[in-house]
Formats: sequence, C-alpha cells, structure tokens
Amino acid sequence: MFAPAQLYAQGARRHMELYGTTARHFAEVAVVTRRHAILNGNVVMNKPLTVEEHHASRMISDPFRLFDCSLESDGGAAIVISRAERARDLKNPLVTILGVAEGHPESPASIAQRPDLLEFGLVKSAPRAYEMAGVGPKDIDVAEIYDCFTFTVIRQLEILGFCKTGEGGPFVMDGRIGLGGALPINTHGGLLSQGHVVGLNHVIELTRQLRREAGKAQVKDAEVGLVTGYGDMGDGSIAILRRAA
Amino acid sequence: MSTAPAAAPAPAPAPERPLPVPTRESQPFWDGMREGRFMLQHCAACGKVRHYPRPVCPHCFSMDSEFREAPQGGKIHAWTVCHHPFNFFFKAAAPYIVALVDMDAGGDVPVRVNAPLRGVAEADLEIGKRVRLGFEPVNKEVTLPFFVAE
Ligand SMILES: [Zn+2]
Repeated sequence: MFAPAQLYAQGARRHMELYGTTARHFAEVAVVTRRHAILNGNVVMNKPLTVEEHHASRMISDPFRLFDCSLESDGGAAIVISRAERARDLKNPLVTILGVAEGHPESPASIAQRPDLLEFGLVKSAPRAYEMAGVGPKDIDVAEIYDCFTFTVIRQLEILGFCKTGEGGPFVMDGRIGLGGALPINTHGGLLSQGHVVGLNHVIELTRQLRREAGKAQVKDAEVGLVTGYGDMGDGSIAILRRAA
Repeated sequence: MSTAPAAAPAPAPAPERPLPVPTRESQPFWDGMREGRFMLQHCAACGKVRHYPRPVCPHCFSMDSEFREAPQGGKIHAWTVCHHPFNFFFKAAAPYIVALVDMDAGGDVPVRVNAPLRGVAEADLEIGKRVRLGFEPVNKEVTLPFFVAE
C-alpha cells in the first residue's frame, strides 16, 4: 500500500458495501467531468468519455479504474486576494469570500486508523464555512469539488449536505451534476480531466463562473458557489464565494 | 490471487522488495512479528492502546508506553485489490488483495492492520469476515504480517 489510489480504494469499497454505491455512479462523475472539460478547452483530457469506456479502463486498485483517478500533471495557477474596498476599482467583477474553513480527520496521518474511514476533514469544516457564509447547500448554484478520485466527489457531496450519507451515488445520476442540472460540479473538468493543479484550478474556475466568464461551461446566473480542497490524506478545506452586487 | 507474470521482453534487474525500517518506537512490534506474536503499544499512563507505534499518547499525551501481546484475529473492515504495481516489486504478485482488518484487540479505539489477504477469492470478500494473522519471514530482521481466513 503505497499510493493514494490504494489507500482511498478501501474507503470507496466500504461505501459500496455499506450503501450500494456502484461503478456506474463512479463512471457518471468521470463522464460528466470530461464533458465539462471539453467545453472548457484548456484541459489535458479533451476526448469524450463514455460509461462503457470507463468500465473498460484498466483496474488500478479495485474499485478504482484508470478513469476514476485524477491526472498527475504539471501546471500553474494563481489567485489574487485583496480587501473588497481596494478591489472596487478593478476591471473584473468582484467575487467575495463569504466563508472559509479547514478541518482535519481524526488520525490525520493514517487513513487506516480513522474510526470512520469516510469522515474526511470536510465533516468538520463544512458546517463552519456554511455558518460563516450565512448560506446553506440549497443556496449553492455551482460547486467545484476536489476530485482526486470519482468516489471522493460522491462522498463530499454527502458531507456538504447536498444529499444524505449513502445517497451520493444516486445523487450524481440523471444529469444532476452536469451543466443545466440542479448542481453543476467541476465545470472546468476538475482534477480528473482538466489536470491536477492541486485544486487551485477549482478556485479559479469558481471565480470565473461567478464573474460569468466560463464560456460554454457557464452556469446560468451563478451567484453563489462552493469550492473544496484537500491536503495530505483527506484534510478538508472549503470556501464559499459570492458574486458581488 | 496471484497470476503468472507475462514473459518479459528483456531481462531486467529484479526490483528490490520495499521493506519497513523498524524505529525506536516500532522495534517491539517487529520483534513480535519475528516471534509470531502481535505486539501492541499501550499507554502506560491511561492504558489506551495505540497502533501504529508512536512516541506520544494521542489521548493523554503521556510518553510512557509498554507493549502487550494481543490476539491475532479480526474482522475485515474494508479491502482493495491491487492491480497496478506502484512499486515494480509487486508486479509479479498483482492482482493481490490488501485487507484492512479491525483487530479483536481494539475496543473503543480501533486497531487496524493493513496486510495482504491470502487464500480468499475476491467473490468471498465481505465486511465482517473473520480473518487471522500469519507471519512471513523476509530476512533476519523483518517478518511481515499477512491475513488468512479464520
Ligand atoms: Zn494515554
């Protein structure tokens, strides 16, 4: 056991056994994310992906197949943060930070010894960020979810309160997480298809969405969005942003 | 679970097996492995078990500890089947099952061991399945744990 794919695979397997989550659910995350990547264009993976191709991709560490894993990529990303009053005279529409938080899982260094393998740091940070922001899951128009693996998206959607624990698999189906769906996610293609720029590309994408600069992948009338990030093995950070009036 | 490795096009030097390096804290655990015993670190102040071995108790922060022999059985908590060899040494063994096991020694604090599970078919894997430790000597210093069905 050396690689994140192996360590996270055990949690994914447990979720499948406990709640009936399936490879079909994983595939949906991969396929929708790829569709978004193609709309973005500035991505590593620019060919369409089908559910069948996902299921036929080679097994890495069961239940993770190749297309359940994010890309190891080189890339650069930067964001500029300023006081709101100083930013007022900038050319671009302002995006304000409503709430931020970070949380660490019990037994941060060893996934294996965590009382609950499925309690990522986001379990602690999400409620704090929602409280600070004064919004809840129902107010989120677009979400950029740290997608080191397809499964970690499904589990974070549960932790974030978009559905209950165990319902993440069915939640991602039926177009819900695609553009035009109830909760479009990873509208840039994420770590799975745009590239693993350590999740900073998620912050940039959410900023573009709220500035309405996301081109073909624009979520109509996006006002409030949410972005999650990881550190190490499941430390959970979250930021909730709003398009300034 | 191992399958025969495909014939290599050209002979390459055999990759070295990656092995754990015992530390001052973990030495009693590895000594136990060599003797076919499952030794667990306990806090000498509050008595709570902690695994993997480390210098400070996460419950009371005491640095005093002692090792006690623990039962070798447990129940499967989760598993993965490793197909991609992230280290080339394991290429010949893949695919192999690595089970994460809730050891009987754990009470309110989980004690989990991650080790290869041998002699069990993938179709027979389930959460809660009883397994027990086996011991594979690798060299004079290191004996590695594995699991078999109980
Ligand atoms: Zn203690």
